[in-house]
Amino acid sequence: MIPPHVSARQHLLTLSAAALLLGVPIVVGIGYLVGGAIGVSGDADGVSLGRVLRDGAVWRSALLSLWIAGAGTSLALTGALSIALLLGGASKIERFARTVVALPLPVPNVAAAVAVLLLLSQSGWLSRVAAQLHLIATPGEFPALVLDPWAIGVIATVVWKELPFLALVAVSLQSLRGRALTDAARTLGASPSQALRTITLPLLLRGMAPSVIAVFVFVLGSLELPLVLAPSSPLALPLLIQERRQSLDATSHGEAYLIALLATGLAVFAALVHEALRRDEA
Amino acid sequence: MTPRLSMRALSVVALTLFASAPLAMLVVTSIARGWFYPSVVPSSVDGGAWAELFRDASHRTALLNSVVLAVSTALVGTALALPLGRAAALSTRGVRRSVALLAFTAVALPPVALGAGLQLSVLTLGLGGTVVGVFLAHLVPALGYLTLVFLGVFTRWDLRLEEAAATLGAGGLERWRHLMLPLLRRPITEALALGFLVSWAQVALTLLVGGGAVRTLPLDVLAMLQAGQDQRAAAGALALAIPALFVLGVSRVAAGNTPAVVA
Repeated sequence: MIPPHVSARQHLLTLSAAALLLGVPIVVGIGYLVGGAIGVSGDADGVSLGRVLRDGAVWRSALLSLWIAGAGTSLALTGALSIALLLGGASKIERFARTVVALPLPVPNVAAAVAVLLLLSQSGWLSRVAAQLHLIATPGEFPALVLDPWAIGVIATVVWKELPFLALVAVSLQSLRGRALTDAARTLGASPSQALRTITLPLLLRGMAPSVIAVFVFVLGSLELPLVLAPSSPLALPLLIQERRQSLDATSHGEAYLIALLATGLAVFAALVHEALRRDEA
Repeated sequence: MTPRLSMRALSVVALTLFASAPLAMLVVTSIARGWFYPSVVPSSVDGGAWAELFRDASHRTALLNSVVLAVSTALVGTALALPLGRAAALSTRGVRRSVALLAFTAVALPPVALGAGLQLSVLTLGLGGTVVGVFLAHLVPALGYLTLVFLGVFTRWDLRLEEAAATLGAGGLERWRHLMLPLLRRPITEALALGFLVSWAQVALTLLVGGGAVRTLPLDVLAMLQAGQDQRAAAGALALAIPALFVLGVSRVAAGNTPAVVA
């Protein structure tokens, strides 16, 4: 409702500016992607959707990216829920733990990737500790935790970076409404595990769903983490797009735009789900 | 010590290690000298990698570009998002949802996909490979994030305060200066911090729209890593992480000093 002291004309103008500033870059960006995919803009030759969908490399890349985003988000969510349940109180030590765990939150992805590489690579710090303990004799004997087929290094970085965000959301939800309902259930005779299973966890998971979707979609689109830590075969989806864009073959450029368009479709779908979940939550 | 308390103490120790070990790794590597495998600690330390980072003219340019881009994205993004978020929050539920959806889409689009489209747009405007073009590209996700921040703030905003001020004769400018800006100090500070961080950490959009001609600190760190210069990469990564941690800390302190709380 527009308050009486705000002019309706000014309000409409600001809203139009919002639509333009937010919408135009997205529409123009997607428009150019479509143009690139069908060969009418940029330096690409048009490609057919069927050809891209029949390309095994695209599916392998998509699966790797979905694995990284799915495993990373699930582990970060598990950690965040544990923190909310174990350390969600107001005592000094719990507040200290929550402050410490928030440290990685603002660290840029590139810096996080470098740190994890130095820790987990075959000549990294963990490998040195293993060598000092005579568990391994050479760096090659240390298990490959970065640039490995399971993308363990990328997933570890995702957990390190995203757990603080999800933990903040989980703790705030728990303090807002989790305790009162759990206490009510306990008063009515529910055992601690029953209250956890039927009240606390479902409430937390429902409240966290929009944030979980957001984390999943950010990780899915991240370029820098797989660039530093993921295997080179198959390539993560953002790297595959980048590789095909830089190819000398103009048809590959069209494929890059089409794959980017498919990734965009996935992100728009995630945005719709995110908004629907947020609306339910509100 | 009860089992629950010892479990809690163990969790705190584990979390402290989990959160700080990668950052500690960066600190030690950036100052290590002659740290050969399999030594767990370096034999000596020096500030060579740091000195080189600031002595090298191309790194200084990259750092300057990063600062200019992050500060301008924070300022312009906040200045634009505040009225946009407010206008959306004062509108009908349908408009609010549409603006939220647009803003989240700007945030959620994979930067490589968004960048590929924006690159062609920016090239058409003749801004490809320029700092201005990269700034415009950084502004897209930043505006998405910040609009969501202000949409949330103004959805919970108590309009009666503004109405009371208007009834008492305060004009639009006076209301903003004496009522709204003091009340909005906390979200504005947080928005400035968030806008700074979105641009400061950006890689894909800089790479695509800057076309390699606009160097920033994250791109330099990646280049150092690919060249096998681990020590310099660690110093560069810390140079990226420290301002980000500082900005978050300052925004929290500033937020804590806010004189009033929005209802």
